[in-house]
Amino acid sequence: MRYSYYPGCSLHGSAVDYQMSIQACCNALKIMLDEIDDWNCCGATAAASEDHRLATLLAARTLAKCSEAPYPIAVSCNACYSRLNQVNAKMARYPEIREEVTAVLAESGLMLVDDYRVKHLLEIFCEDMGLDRLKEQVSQPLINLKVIPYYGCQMVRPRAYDHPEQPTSLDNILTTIGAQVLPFHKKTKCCGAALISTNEPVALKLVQKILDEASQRGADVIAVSCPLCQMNLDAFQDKVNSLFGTAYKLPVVYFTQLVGLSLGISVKKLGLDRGIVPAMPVLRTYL
Amino acid sequence: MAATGQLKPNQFLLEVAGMPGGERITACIQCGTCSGSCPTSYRMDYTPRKLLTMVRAGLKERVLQSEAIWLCASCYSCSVRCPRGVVITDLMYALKNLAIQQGFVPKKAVAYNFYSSFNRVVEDVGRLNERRLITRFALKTDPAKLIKFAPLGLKLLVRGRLAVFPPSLKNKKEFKRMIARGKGGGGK
Ligand code: SF4
Ligand code: SF4
Repeated sequence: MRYSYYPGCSLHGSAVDYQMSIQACCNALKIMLDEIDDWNCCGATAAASEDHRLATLLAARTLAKCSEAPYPIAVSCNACYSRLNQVNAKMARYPEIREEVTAVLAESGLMLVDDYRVKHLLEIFCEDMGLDRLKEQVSQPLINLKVIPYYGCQMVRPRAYDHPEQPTSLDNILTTIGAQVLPFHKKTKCCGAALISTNEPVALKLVQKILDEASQRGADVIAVSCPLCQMNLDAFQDKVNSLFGTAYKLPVVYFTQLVGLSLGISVKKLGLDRGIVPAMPVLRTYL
Repeated sequence: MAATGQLKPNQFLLEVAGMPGGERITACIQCGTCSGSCPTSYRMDYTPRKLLTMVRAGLKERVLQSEAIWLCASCYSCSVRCPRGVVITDLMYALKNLAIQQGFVPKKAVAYNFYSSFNRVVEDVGRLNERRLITRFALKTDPAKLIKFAPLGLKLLVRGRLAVFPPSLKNKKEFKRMIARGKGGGGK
């Protein structure tokens, strides 16, 4: 299995722990990730909010960088995944936009092909590799670890390979590595995304609702697949606690960190010591 | 649309319907599923359903000056549930684009400045530099934000989660030229 890999900006910055754990897991599972040469930011919700042309161009340039590689594109961040997929679909739907973008890219020596296959890591793990193969590699099953599977919005909407409101891919991965997956109504409820910077009280309320259900269900950890969800749920927990008078202390880890642990990879290599709410107290038994 | 007795579409409606993703606005049946699915509608001055009908009524100023469009978190809950295939999220994007292009956004508006700071940093180096984003955003809105962000910045820093080397593309010049050629008007 081989892919053109798009890490996205966060994975080179605040989500370096996600990147470390992806690298470690993919090495162990023989998934080859060729980082796209000189990739640029996907524009996230910022570019689309200000200027749809800028938004299309940013994602299209990165797609065009993959035109020559015969592999699907692997994406780790939910927001990047959604952007790349949507711009890919948009160019198929609006020939005039595609033409405009093609002309601009051509001046930089880049060209678009007809269609790109953009896949999130969750899909790659479940569909391309298959959970049976993952199971064979598990040396340290995370028995009794109570995990909340939190997908967030852009992993599953507006369209993805999993169900937009009742997805199961993350659940299945977590079950495969031996964890106890808890039922969770807010699987795909919004974490607030950029509102954490633009309207903090509104975003904190969304985060609080997610943390509340997770803690009422007795979670040890919340597993995520997106650097923005991770940041909002983890780094803003203390603000939630002081605003709502709560005392949540829920570690928020990337699913690849848990997978890595079950494969016997070290805490350091997985970046598991980098969360704001420390995860080690609940994970220590699995070392 | 073949229905008889329909009002002539107003200029604003045509403008919105002409944006990518805006086409299906006339298909809305005002069922309110979008507003009921929206995690932030409780704080909006006009709910998504109301905004759509206001666009159709041609209430341009009120729509483009509304706070609601900036409270959309792009979660797409509304869009996947709409029984008429209206992609409300994309309409929200279209309205934000128009509000900026046509000068309806106050200079110090927080959400607008966050997005535009983000975009200016990305246009400059090709990738997001979290430190530059925060600095620019704070200076454009409220410099005290720099102090407010410090505790979180520090926590990330000690965990090695703030990039040490500022991210950048190899061929920045070419990238900038491309963006200048292909982006739309309006951004400052
Ligand atoms: S859900 Fe769709 S049809 Fe119903 S009010 Fe919203 S946009 Fe209109
Ligand atoms: S995409 Fe925006 S308008 Fe639609 S439900 Fe989410 S926050 Fe509300």
